[in-house]
Amino acid sequence: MEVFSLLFEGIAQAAEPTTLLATLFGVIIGLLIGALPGLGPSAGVAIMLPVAISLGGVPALACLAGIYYGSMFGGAVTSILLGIPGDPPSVMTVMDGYPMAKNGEAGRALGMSVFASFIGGLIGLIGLVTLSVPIASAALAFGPTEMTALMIFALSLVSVLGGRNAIKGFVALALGFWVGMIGLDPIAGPIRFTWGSMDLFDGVDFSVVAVGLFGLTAMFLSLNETATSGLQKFKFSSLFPRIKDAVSSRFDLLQGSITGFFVGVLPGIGATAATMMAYATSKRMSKTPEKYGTGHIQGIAAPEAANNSASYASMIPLFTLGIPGSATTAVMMAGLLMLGLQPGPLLFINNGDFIWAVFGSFWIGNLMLVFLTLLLTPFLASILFIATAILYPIVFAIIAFGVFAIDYSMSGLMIALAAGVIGLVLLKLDYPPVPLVLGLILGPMLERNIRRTMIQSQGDLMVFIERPIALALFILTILVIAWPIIRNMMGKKSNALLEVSNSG
Amino acid sequence: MKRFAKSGAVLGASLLALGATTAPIFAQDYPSRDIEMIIPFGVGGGSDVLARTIASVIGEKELLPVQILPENRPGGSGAVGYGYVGQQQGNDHLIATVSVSFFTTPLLGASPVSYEDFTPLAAISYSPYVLAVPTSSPYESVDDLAEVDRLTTATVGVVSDAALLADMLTDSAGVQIDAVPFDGEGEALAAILGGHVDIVFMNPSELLAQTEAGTLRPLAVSSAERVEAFPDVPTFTELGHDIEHVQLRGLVMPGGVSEEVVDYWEGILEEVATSDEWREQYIETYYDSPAYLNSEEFAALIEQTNDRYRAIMEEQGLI
Amino acid sequence: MSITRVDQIFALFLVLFGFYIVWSGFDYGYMNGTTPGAGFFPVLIGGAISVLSAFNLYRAVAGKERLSGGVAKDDIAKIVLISLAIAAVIFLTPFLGLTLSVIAFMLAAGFIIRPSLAPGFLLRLIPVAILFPLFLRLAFGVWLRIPVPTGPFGL
Repeated sequence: MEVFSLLFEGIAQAAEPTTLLATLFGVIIGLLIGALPGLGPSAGVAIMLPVAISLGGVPALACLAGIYYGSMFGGAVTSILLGIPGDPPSVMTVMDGYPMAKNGEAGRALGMSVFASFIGGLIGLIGLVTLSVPIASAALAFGPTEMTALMIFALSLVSVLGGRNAIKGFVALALGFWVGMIGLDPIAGPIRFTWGSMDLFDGVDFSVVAVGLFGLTAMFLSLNETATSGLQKFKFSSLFPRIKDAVSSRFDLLQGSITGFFVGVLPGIGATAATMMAYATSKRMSKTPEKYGTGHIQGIAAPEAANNSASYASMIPLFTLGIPGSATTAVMMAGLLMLGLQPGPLLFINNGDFIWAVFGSFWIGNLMLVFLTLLLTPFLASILFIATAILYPIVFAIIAFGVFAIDYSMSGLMIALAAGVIGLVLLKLDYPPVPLVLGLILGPMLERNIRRTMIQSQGDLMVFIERPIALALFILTILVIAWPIIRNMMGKKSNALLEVSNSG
Repeated sequence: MKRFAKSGAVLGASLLALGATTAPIFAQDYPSRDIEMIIPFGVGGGSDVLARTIASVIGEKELLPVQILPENRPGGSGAVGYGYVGQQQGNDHLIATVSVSFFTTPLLGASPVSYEDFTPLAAISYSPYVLAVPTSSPYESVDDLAEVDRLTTATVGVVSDAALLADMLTDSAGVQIDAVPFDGEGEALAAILGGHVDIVFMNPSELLAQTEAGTLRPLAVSSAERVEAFPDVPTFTELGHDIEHVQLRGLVMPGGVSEEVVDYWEGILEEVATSDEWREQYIETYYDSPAYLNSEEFAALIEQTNDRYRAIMEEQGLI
Repeated sequence: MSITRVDQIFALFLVLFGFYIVWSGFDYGYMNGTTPGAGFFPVLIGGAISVLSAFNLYRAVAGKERLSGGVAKDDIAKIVLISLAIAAVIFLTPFLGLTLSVIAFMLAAGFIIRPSLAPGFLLRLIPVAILFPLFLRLAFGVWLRIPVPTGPFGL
């Protein structure tokens, strides 16, 4: 296998001291930026761009990429410990990570996120070195029509994530769609629902809404110290990860990694949508779907594997075709240009050594992250033993700075506060918050791609069944919706068998 | 004031003698403090790179006795940053670069300022647009495109230079071109490479890697003259289409700035435009075309661009 | 006001809000020739919000919706005070800078959560409230080079 000899050469090159240091610097910054609520990978990579470029050559890109995949590890920390998504792709980790931390299993949850991130990273990296060229060309087959079908498929998957009251779940989903419409309509041009505010012109930033809706709401609910202190009794065992969790979640890890990889490689979809699909798939496939959302270890495994896998996959179109598929990779592309490289199909041919050395640094960086985060886990988990009256002011302070840093304006904090208050009302009235963020992430993609398809086809709906990928996805969608019914029937049959064998 | 007049006269005389434009007429009085350079977009984007490169070239060549301090003020599609600059009428220590949003956001009525609130200083290069099709496409020339009834093109944003050029080509070649707006250059590039649209108009820096690799085929350029990076690609004018539209890289100040300040900056920017540093750090990296336009020429082109955007937006019923 | 009444009012609000979205949608343009316009989705989504919320309103009024419980009065007071304190940061920042506003906020938030003057608490809260924002100022303003809004003393 030629790729592996190239890869080993790359790893050897990436093990040079300057590159090694640049990688370490990148992953540490990435961990921090991921963990800080508000600041996410795209803002983080952009902020660090000038510093990284000054390192020159391979170290520059090793550092930039390190920030990106490092933030995927870091995002889980705040999600689990405080219920605040550290960055958009860790929203789904809140669902089960935060309940686990409240049950005194913070270390276990953090440990799972590290294993999942590592496995997801590993599978993503194997895909990156072996499949990058064919998968990049395959990704190009996804035009607006296929994206529309994929989004409808995604929505059918995630429909399991509603709450007890299905109607209120759909209302929350619709509200998320509506929030996603705020700002300049990118297809036809009018400005929607901004009420004249300049700050809303570019739309509402997802991480700001997530910080408010999950983080501030969670904190509002636990301001009463006497009510919550009972949960935070010190237990040494709660600080440490458990290896056997990784074994019991192996299918979810694999599923999350693969989902993350294939969704992440598509330009314009991104890691956040990938985590949502991975989480929903995990819940769909599970024998105990009712445990999801209450602190179920598999609920951390799938999305955390997915976001790391997706972060590597999203670099594939950049390195093989010169296509930046996300805000983060667009900044990395600017970095390549500043270094005097020409991102495009010839990059591998003209600068093969460079790319393989950068890929090599990913493997080293992934290992570094595992050791760093495993070592840090007990210390991070012990954050929960700080008294609320000290901890929450600190967290609010980080949010204030972190949200400001997203777009250098205080309007983000206002939106976060509004989202926090609305989140509290929704939660108390039994409107589930998850469909709202799903709507906010998937809604704009669905709307834009449907409208793009309709412009292309001049309003002809037949394109959705004429194109094979779209048709296949629609058939999958129908299967997903029909699956519970099929399983119900199969379940009765196997129960019957069980009874037969018991009696026999 | 007396000192100013005197030194001005002395320098003016030497200026005439040298025939150069670089010597500042009132060096002792202006600039009196550091220059604020506002970038109305985020870090790492095209506008950010442009502005910071200009600032670093001016710094390296020591053209100013003070520093240029670049500062990002993103938000509102440029409305926040341009609003900050345009509302400080007469502040001659404040500069910004122009971009598409400089025109379009005010036209949509979403900005507190418009192009009339700014003083154009000079333009130092421009980026042409290249019309390209996938290599697998049956279209070999612009004439081939004129033969079909309908084409689609990928643009970034509803009102953009690419949409404008598609509109111009529609009028000139008599073919219906529907613009499909995408969320960023990457998605637009993926759409053309995947064959989901027929044609694109893109900057040379976005296209060159693809044309070199043989995935896209360039058919025409939108500038008045051929482009260095694509010497064999004809201009639209050569092909008999009256299409000429480029993206100017230039600097503006708030309105109400004195003539002297404009002259001073024209001198500095002319040096930037003709410097090796600018050529190496920007023109060659991003395949721009070198050009220098003084404040009057630049102002005329700003007005022309604004009129073109207004026309296309009125056509689409946006304003 | 009981939680059930809040639920009814909220559902009613959503019915009306859905109408507003639909109305705005027609304003933005429902169709654009043969293709869905900018108002197409607002009309659909607004309509969905209205119809579904009307159903929720019916359930709430008919008493079919059982909610787990409200928020205690003390907690509401704390939530309102913390929200006001966050709002104060937003409005004070242009005058005091972000760092000083956050220092003030942290002190206020500490006392809102634990209204106590116990020396042990003060000895922890006050140093943290002063030093932590200064550290953030250093981390964001200097290391990450973000133009953090400044106030008096250049903070």
